[in-house]
Amino acid sequence: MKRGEGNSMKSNRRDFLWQSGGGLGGIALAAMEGNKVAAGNLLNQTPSAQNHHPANAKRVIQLFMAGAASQVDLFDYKPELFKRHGQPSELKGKIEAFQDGLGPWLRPVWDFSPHGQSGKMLGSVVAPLGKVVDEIAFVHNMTGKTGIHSQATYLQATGFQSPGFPGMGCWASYGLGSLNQNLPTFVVLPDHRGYASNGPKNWDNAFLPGQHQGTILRPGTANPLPDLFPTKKDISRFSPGEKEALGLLVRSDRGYASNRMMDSRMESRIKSYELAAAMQLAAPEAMDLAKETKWTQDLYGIQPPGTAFEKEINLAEEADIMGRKCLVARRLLERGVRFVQIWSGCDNGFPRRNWDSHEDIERDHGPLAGGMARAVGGLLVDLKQRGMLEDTVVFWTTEFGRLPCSQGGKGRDHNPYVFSSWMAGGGIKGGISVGPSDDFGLAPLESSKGTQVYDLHATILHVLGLDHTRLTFRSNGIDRRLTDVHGRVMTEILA
Amino acid sequence: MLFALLLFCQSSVQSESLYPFDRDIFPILTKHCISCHSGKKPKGGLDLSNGKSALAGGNSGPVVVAHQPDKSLLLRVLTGLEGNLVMPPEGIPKRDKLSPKEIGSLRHWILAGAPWPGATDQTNPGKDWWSLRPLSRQPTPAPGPGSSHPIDAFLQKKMSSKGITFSPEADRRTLLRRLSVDLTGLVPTTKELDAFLNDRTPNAYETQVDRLLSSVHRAERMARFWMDLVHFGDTHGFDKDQPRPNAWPYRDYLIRAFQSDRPLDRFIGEQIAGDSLYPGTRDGIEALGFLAAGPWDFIGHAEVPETKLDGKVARHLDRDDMVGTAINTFMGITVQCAQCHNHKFDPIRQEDYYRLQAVFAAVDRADRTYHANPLVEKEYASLQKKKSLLETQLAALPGGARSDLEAKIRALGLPAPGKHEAFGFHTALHSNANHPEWIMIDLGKVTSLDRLVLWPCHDDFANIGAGFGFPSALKVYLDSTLLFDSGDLPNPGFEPLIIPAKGNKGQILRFEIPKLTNRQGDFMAALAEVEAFDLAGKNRALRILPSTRSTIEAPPRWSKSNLTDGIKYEANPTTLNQMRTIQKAILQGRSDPANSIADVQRRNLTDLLKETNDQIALVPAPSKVYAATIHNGSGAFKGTGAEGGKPRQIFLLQRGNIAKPLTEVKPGAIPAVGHANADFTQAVSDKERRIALAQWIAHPDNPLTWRVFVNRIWRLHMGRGIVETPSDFGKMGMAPTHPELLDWLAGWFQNNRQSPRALSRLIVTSRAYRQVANASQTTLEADPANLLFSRYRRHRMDAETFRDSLLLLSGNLKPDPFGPPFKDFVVEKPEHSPHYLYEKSDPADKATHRRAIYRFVVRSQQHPFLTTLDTADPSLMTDKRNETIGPLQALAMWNNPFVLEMSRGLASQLANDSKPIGKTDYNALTERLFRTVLLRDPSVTERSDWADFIRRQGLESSARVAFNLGEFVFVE
Repeated sequence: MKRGEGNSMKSNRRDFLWQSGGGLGGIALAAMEGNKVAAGNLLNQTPSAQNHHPANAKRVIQLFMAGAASQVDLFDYKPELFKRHGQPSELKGKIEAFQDGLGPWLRPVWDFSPHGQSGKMLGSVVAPLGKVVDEIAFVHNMTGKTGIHSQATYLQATGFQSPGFPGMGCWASYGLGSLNQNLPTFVVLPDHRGYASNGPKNWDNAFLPGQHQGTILRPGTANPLPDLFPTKKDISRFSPGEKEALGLLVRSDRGYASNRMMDSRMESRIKSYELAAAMQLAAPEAMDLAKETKWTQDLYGIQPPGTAFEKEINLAEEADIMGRKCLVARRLLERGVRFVQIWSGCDNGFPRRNWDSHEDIERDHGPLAGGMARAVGGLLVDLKQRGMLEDTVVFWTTEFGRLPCSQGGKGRDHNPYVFSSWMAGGGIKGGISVGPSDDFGLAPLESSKGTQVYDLHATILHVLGLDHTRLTFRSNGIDRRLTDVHGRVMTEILA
Repeated sequence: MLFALLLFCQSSVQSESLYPFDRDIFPILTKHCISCHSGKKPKGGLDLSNGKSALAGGNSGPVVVAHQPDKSLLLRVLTGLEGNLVMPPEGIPKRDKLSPKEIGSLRHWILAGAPWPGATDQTNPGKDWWSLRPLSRQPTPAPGPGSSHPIDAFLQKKMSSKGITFSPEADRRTLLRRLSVDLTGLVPTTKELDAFLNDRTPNAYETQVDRLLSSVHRAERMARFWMDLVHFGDTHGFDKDQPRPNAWPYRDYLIRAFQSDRPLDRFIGEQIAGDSLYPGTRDGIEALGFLAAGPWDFIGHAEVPETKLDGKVARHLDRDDMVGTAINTFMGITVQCAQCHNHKFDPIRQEDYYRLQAVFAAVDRADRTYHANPLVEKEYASLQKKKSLLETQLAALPGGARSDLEAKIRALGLPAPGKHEAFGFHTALHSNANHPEWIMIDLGKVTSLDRLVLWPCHDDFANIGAGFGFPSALKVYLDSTLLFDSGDLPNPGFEPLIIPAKGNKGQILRFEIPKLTNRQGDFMAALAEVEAFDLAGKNRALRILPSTRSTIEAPPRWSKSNLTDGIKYEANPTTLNQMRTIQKAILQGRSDPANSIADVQRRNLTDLLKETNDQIALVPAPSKVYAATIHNGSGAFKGTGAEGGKPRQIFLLQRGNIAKPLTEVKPGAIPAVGHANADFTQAVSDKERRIALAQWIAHPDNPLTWRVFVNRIWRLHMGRGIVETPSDFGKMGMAPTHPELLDWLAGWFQNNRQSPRALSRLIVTSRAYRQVANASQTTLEADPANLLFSRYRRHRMDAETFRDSLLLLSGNLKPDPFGPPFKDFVVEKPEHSPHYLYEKSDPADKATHRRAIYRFVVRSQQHPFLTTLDTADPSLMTDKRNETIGPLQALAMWNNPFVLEMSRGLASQLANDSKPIGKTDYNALTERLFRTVLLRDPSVTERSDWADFIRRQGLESSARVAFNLGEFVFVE
């Protein structure tokens, strides 16, 4: 193909095909890259990209604490704060607080004690993570760009501060394809009480092809996956003859396709209905926690169905909520889902059901963090005992941290300057903490060396066998990446 | 097709064997070298911004010796082999040094012979790129064989070289379905098809084209296409995704604009500067929804003030979106890439990007009030003006209440009733005060003068207020007589400076300005009017064009001719000093003898004011549109209203970091586009800035605007662009497959009233458009990817076409155009981050049965059903829709309550047509189903198969299957 005949010599093969032929390009691409069934690839049912290098992990669970979890109360031990509690805080540098809440130093709500071989100090509220702490690599100098929830959540979820960019799971799906035949590649389990900042925009496919979008699952509801079945109003009318109807559709479509042999979209569409039917069986089964033993349910902190909880936010309920999501996530991974994103915390209404503890850390973080630690501790134990942790990355994050001083009372204001994230599992070195923050947990110890979300994203893509600089998609003339033009693989936390 | 695409890919891989200059080399030069080695006076005489000059070298001779990197000065200075001459020079931060990898790339490039594509072209930066070359005026080609249509002649030429010709014309059923979906986003009805089939006139096809082109549904379709491009939404996006209840008038504007076939230049002008270019029109206001269409960070604006860094970031992102929307949509270049550094591929400097931000530095996104009816708007405006004058007069009366004093004093700054704002003369800007300027007026003959009167500039714009730019020192000569030497001159406010001339005689008046006046870090002088009265009291300087040392000519606001135009600001009868006296008087509790007279005046004025207010109350309530506006807000979201709409200062940001502002930049655009002056420094006000940009974009010689627009319309109809990256005509975009055709279309469009409708008509009446989608083996082999347009591109219906067509066929469609959007969701917990619950909407709700373009578009929670069919993401500028197929889409089309509700509707339509069919006449029902949905009769086998199904599963189930058929969903 000469220049001037519709080709751009700069665009890589992959982008160009998607852009030039949409779905068609996708089919060609999949076939080109050495996989078996072209139509299957279009449907993202088998990996559609070759790894850039050998992978350590092949799937991811991302845990997102919406509202900004306090690093100094959970994971980042700061003895200075215990000593200076109540004294006027001297915040170095130009600190702007979101609610102008710059009160005195506030000691961590919970005492810290060492855990595991590594002796990692954990706040007592997250002590249930102690049994797996040697699997975890903590990063304590995460640094953001803004103290506004929305932009910061976008940044951590999509790598950009504005809407219009694909979530991290979309990129994993785009880069690696699916491992299963009858479930979505990228599944999202939102807090059932409401969406975090930005809602589904955090996991939308944006410019990536539609099959890479995060699919919301709602375990335990009549339609746990959108449009899996007709609604109650329609089901008696349309479901009884469904099999016959599908037969008629496929028969008719085959007739239509027979005159269009060169267009493989015809076959793809037929296959998509067959897969949809398979999903109707597979999805409810994947989410059926009754199939798990009492011991396993207990491990995750799950209460028996129908348990009544207190009206106020409480530990048992939060553990149950998070435990159910984590257990569903494990079952989905077992069935070949590539990426599960779990959200803890809903929108910023009152009473608070998220991590944005401006008023009272203990009140919100107590149940949320305690419940999270119970459930996630159980998840890591369970993954490990099943041999799944070897090739699964578990990734815990939040949009920013909280200040080491109080807001005047018992709460803390936003801290975009430093916060903590952690990773565990495939390809990640456990039992370490990297990237120290300063003595107060106000900023990175070395201000120029803060870890940015791009670095975490680059590292996770790396253990998945993908080079973050080469996983690109052309949109509006720009080769977009999850890591924008940044990112460093954090070799110090690689196993 | 699979085979075909594989072939195509192999060819594409071959093309990559060309040296990847644009990808690997040019970005290095852009990043490290071009900021000094380009422009009018490149450092060392070396211009690296284009191939010809770069290879020619600089003052030290050629810098590149092909195949010999060690002899190439370029590489020697980078690697320290030239002694003291080291590049980049000292003082450049370390990170801007070239990395070993970059030096390695340059070495390899020189080894490979230093190929520079297009190096033989003009010396203007960027002009070696095809899309920045001036539009070539292509002659209309001679008619080709079998078609007299010019488009076909262009296409046939290229096909002939491959030994093929057009595929056969499709049948009428296929053509009508294609045309209807393409032009209106709705499938045709059987009635419409019958009319076409029975039309035996020779121009039956054109009749259909014209019917569809004039339909409001076509305008709706075009508006939806445009809304994709500008990422229109009815909520803000981000957190607290609050509704924008007044976004929709912009959508209605688009429909009206396409329905009335708005010429492109006006369409551009309205959307960027409609309030100034077309004042008093409804469209001029509503069109500004263009700039506000994209997302907006509610918290970053409404809860964080501009004084905080986070607030600055939010406002920076806001302007970034406006710049991107304007330039991407109309000119198809990725200007946003120059935010942190010069554009790596295209000739856009980082400074150009920030100059574009400066164009939008005054506006915010907010509701604007206006009257849709221009007559009402005019009346309303004049009543408002009257009201404010009365209030001013009232305020000017002595003895008013103390609390009014500040307002009164401010009101004194306004022109007196019936008087003009005074525009004036403005010198060039200088970096210090000691840059002498002068004004000279030749009175024509020797004259005895009584006095000179110098009026300060004053207008109500941007609180420029009284005395703007008045010289800080002044010497006045009449011929050689020194009339006046001021020393340091205080700013006179709105009082004129009167200089006695005492009967001195002379012809040439010369005003020297030894000391300029500070204007936000720059130095300049400005004057509104110069009067020279002779002994008889006649102004002898009136309308004599002065000479000046420098002038900013930006009429009407700034021009040296303003100096003697007789228009000057005249203050209210009460001066500021008088006002201060009054204030003092009131504070001291003394009564003023003038008060009794003032009391009478006050009563009269109060009566008049009440009368005016009553009249205002009778004017219909104004409309609102969410648009770009000078915002006059409170709290954190203040906007620039309180500053009179004065544009914010915009700085070049080091690596795009808001915390690291470098130099302030003035408004402007991208000089490398080259068709017109891209320096808008003289555009001071918000309006002037946006007008300048609109005119720069819509300029007839803009090489991008016209190509980009005709390519977008072409792509809409033909399924593939001549340039298949419709929003990127830069170096990372694709080259045109038919460059001559593209330029011819652009020229044709300009010569045909810039009419989008005529352009569409031109394209869809070509033979190329009317081909079948299935091609012969020969054609497939010669043109595997259909780059030559040798057959029609089969495509799946887009999301809105599918939805709207189901409404149409089920008899549910409410076709009423325009008006507030419908909501097919239920909102819960609206106070913070509203929950938009689509699953709680009843698909049988008639209010939701309008076309999808009238949907209330939520950004944070996209429409679940339409999203599975690849609708545009309203947070993202979408230049072409994806076309995906997958199981989640299949589930949605199969089970979504909307589809099932429409299936019910279709079933009852079929049974209760004007000729009702018995519920058991399954063959007849099958036939009617096929005709309605597929516009054809069933085959014998199909009839028995479907009739059997209907008998056992019912008509509703069969309608559901029909809506899911590939034959329905694909258009060919």
